[in-house]
Amino acid sequence: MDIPYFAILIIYLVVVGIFLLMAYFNIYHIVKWSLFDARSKTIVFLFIALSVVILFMSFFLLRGIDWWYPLFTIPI
Amino acid sequence: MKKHHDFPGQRSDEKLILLVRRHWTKLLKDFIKFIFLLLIPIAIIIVVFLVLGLTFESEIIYTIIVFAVSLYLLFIMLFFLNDFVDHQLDLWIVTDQRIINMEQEGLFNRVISSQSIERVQDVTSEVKGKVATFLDYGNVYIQTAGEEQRFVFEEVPHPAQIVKIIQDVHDRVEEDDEKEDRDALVKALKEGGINPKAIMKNKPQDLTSEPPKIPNPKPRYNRTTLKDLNDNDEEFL
Repeated sequence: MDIPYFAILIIYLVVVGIFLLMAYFNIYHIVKWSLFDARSKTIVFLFIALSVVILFMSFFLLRGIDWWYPLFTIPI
Repeated sequence: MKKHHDFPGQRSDEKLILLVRRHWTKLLKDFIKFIFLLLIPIAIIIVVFLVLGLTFESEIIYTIIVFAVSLYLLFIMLFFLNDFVDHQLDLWIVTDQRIINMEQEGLFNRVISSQSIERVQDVTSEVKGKVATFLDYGNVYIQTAGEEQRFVFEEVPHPAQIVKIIQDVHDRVEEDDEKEDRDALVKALKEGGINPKAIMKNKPQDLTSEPPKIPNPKPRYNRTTLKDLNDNDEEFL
């Protein structure tokens, strides 16, 4: 059975999901419990903007990958 | 219309006097750590691909490196955000009614404790170390009569000024309380048909003046002197 490149992408997306969940909790805390002042707004904005840039760059660098190409084969 | 609050959990009749966080040096340390961690993969990429001239021969290695660097950058940003949240959510608040200590311990543990400003017994500031002295930050210890006996404002800027502010607020509250007690007493006396001014006119006795002279009391029996006794003895002899 062939395992495609797609498997690495799934692992990556799971870890990104954990990242998004933790980021959500952090931002929720800062909005709910802290005084959402200019400094907090700036940091949250920079965090979101940089995260989007990193994710976009990752997908941009990997745009040419054939995700269905076999990564390795498991003999069954 | 939603009412404006200066801090979360503020009472409707409560006035914010002071809101402090940790000194910015803690945040600066976290930021330096973040920058250092950010530079590590960039330095590795420069060394491996530009200095050593290595190329991505395998597509799988290329994919894994891109994913690894991407996740590394995302998570160091997340850790910095976490440090920032921790810094922002550690709040010490002084109002005209109470002292509030809000501390974030991890992502899901938040401790909020408050104590009435009237219960404050002693306020002390402590500045330790050269950097702390130079930048004027340190701890403020507040001894109260409550269950949580000691509040600590950790690494806050201008601790001596904070001590003064807390003492001023405490003194003001005590004065207000005394005034309220006095007013209540006057009201109660008036309701009881007593003129409080009349009580005030009855000055206490002047203890500095000479006490009035009391005439010697007349002896209720004749005193027998030693001479008398001796005379009587002679009679016996």
